[in-house]
Amino acid sequence: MNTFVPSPGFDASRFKGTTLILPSVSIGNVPQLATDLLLTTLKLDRVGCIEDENVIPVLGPADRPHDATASPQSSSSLSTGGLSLAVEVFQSKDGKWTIIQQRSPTVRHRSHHYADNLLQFIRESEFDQVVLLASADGARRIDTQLRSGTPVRYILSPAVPTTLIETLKGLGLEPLESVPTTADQRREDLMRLQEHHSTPTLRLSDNVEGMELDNVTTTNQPLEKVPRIPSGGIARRLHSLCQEQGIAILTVVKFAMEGDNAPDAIFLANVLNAIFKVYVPTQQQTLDGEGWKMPKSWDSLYGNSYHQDMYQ
Amino acid sequence: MDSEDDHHRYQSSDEEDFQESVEKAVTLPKPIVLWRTATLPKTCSTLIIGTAFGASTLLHTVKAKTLLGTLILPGVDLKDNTLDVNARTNASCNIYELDADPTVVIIPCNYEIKDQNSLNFAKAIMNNIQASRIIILDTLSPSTYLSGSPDTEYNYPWLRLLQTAGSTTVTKIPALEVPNLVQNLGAALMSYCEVRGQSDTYLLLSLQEHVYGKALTTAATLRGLKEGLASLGCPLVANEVDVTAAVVSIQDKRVGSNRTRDDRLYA
Repeated sequence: MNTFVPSPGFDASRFKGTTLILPSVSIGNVPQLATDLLLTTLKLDRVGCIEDENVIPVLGPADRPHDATASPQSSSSLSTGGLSLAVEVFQSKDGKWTIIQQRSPTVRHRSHHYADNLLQFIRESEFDQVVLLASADGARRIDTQLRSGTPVRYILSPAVPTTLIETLKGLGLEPLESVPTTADQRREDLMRLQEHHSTPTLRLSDNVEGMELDNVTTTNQPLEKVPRIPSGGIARRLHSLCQEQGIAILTVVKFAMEGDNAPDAIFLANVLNAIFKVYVPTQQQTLDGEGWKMPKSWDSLYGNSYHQDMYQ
Repeated sequence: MDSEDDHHRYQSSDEEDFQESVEKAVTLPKPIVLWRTATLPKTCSTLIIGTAFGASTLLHTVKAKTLLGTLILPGVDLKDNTLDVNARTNASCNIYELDADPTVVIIPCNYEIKDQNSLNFAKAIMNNIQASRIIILDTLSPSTYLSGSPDTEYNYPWLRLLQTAGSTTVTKIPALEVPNLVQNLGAALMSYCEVRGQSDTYLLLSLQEHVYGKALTTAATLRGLKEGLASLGCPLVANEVDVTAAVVSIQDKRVGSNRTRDDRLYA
């Protein structure tokens, strides 16, 4: 079900031919933070929201660019107006970019429904291509990923144009390695299947180690064509759904760990910009050293400030 | 240290959990609206909804009201509930009109609505009641409030306001500051109205107090809501509510008083 609700006066046919950029709620919230940078810097207009029962509703004042000269008391949203919703859809004035920002997680055990609804929205909107931002658990990297100089990987669907593939190679980015499941993971999958299907012939034994998952379950078969993204949220699921439907989708994965993830977000935004040139600063902005604008909410990423006196 | 709740933040964060997610998929119940008279969309000038973190108790104290209908959420816990709509133990979500002004509809929502049910509940209300002005009364936990400064003093009554685009600006009540977020029914109702361009929709937040380490709705919290109602142009309802009676209900641990709020959207 397409759960997109357009803002009054917006025609959803304007999505056709644009590039969709959306985050997957994943470790460190890096994709969402990177999307914050895009929205604040590009000053996009909200054109609607994804009103999905599978996402926890949240609401707050609209997040505007941080103003270093403003006093803390002048943070009222009345002067600027607007509210921030759980899942919002923005579009650039030139119509090239459509960006989704998600500010809350999905309902427990309902994320597959959310992914299905997103797919429906993507299909009906006829986007030219989809760029899915995700982050993966840096602690679960394999040796080659640890040795690699770039903490970013990508996953492509076959429908992606060759020009994009060349751009990625030109930037020195590498595709996400397909990590085989561990023996424990295969054993757990089979145990789960055994409970679900109650097939008496399936027994846990040493022979389990050599079995291929593709032969065991059809539910996961499309997923197996897409590399695993540890702590990547719905990224793998959504990518594989889009790939099955022949949609051109590029998933950009940043390895990250919980902590101060603002630098990770800036890195991911820079990679995205290097690929697609989403933000092209003017000559004056370049001379002034202007880069990504951070929203006001980033001032409180780690809670309230505290009195330094207590440490004296 | 990771707990199960922390893992929930990345619900199905690993692909291994996806199959489990499919198998354990829960169905989100759809609320049912029952009207005493004919089933039709009710129109009114003002709709006031009190959420179950104290605000519903305040609206429940209005004596001169007429029952119009009720909202039923399948699966909600109605243990020890009573059919007497005026009883303090009433755990229902009834719809009333004010006797003094029948164009004012109030809904003291005594249900403990979970976050995942909030959107469907909001849709059930908005699809059945059309109002020119909507006021949602809710409370804010001090543990989740981010002021950006360590010197914030909380002088009660402490109020904050959120309003949809195009609503008449209210200068008497400060706006909720970035990056604070609201959850549950208040968020769902406001989001529904905001995205559809419904103006004159307000979410009034009154700060709970920290009492022995717990966030509780106190007389000061409820007085704030009463004053807020008057500031938003509802003096009639503000005069009808009884803060003292509401406080007694809360202290007696009656339903619809101090629901445990799940403040941890992000651990």
